[in-house]
Amino acid sequence: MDERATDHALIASAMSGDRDALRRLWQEHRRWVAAILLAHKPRQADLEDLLQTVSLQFCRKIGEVRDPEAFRPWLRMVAINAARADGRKTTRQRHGWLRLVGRSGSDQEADTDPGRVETLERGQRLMDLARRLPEGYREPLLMRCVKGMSYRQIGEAMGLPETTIETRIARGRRMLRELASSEMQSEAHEQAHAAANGA
Amino acid sequence: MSDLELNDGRAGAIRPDPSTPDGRDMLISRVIDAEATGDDWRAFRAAAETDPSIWRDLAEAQEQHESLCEAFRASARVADAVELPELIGDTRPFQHRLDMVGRWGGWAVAAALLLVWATGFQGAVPGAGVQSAGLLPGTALAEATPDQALDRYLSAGRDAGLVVGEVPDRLVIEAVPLDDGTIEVMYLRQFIERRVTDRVFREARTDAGTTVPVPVSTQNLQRSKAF
Repeated sequence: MDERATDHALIASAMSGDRDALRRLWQEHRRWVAAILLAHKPRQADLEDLLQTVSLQFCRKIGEVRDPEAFRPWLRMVAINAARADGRKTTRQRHGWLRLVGRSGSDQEADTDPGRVETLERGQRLMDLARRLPEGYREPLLMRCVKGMSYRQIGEAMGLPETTIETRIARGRRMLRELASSEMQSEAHEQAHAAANGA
Repeated sequence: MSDLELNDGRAGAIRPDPSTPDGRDMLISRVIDAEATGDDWRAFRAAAETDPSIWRDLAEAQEQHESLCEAFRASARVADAVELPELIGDTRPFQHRLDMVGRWGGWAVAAALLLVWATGFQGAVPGAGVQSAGLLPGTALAEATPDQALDRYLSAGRDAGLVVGEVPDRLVIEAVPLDDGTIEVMYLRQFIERRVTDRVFREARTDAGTTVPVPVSTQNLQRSKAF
């Protein structure tokens, strides 16, 4: 059985209520769901909360997916809706039964290596800039950061041909370069202005 | 993309024309994604002969891609800790189980009860608080002042390995001057307790606002540090 057929068999099992299949399917797809959420969520929204919201919808509604082909686009829309709904909230309350302050891999995890901190800071600035790209470009750009996610798989999730995805990623990267360059120029301009005022 | 032709690399892939902005971007992108074919590399080198700035753009795009992916991985790592809700049954409909949780947690297991109790939700769970009650005999409580009772709780708790200690800082909630010139200070005292369990849960909320427990994989928890 090829990769695609195996994938479809797993989706079909999950759709029919197989608990193990459902769990495995979620584990295989939650990383790119995170990419979709990062592309659409308000900056202050908590990614983990949103992932939990999506996981609940995943459990409740997967049986309504019409066929395995429709699974990825469906899951993408669930994620987009969750991110948008969060954006509509005026206040956020988080009631914790359990605060896992010591969990590893959290985005709040402290890093003491200066080189890595600098890389992460630069990456975070790029992530913020990527969020300013048009929707059709920022999604594939972030999904491409998911290890092993091919143009074809991104295309399946977005319901677009592989060639369109490739084009959007290429253009998105150029847009990101231009945005970063423009940001750097305006920062330099502001610094020069501040220095001139201070002199 | 009408200015791009198909090549014979990946099935259905486009042959980028480096003389156009889109074609140039695509060549750079393919190199970054390790998707460049021999033809792509030939086209890239040919373009670089007339316009060496393509190398600079490639380096910049590559660096940005690496940084972006690094930041993405750091943010998205949290996804590995998000498991499906424990309430999932063997078969659909799942809604029934969600409704059941909404009425009051049929999901509850002993370990979850401990955690719920330990984080101050005594009223929410029947039977919660049972472990703590064992720390202080009822007669001792009746005879003790609040401070004595607290000392006994700490002492017995430490002996039983259930209480680590009190957090030294007290958090002032409110300070109100009274008529007699004194000041009433309301403050929070915090105690660190310890439980050993084989399962932990994180909260999640359904569309209806119902809280449901989601199991957390132990591999996503750091080893606890000794106090």
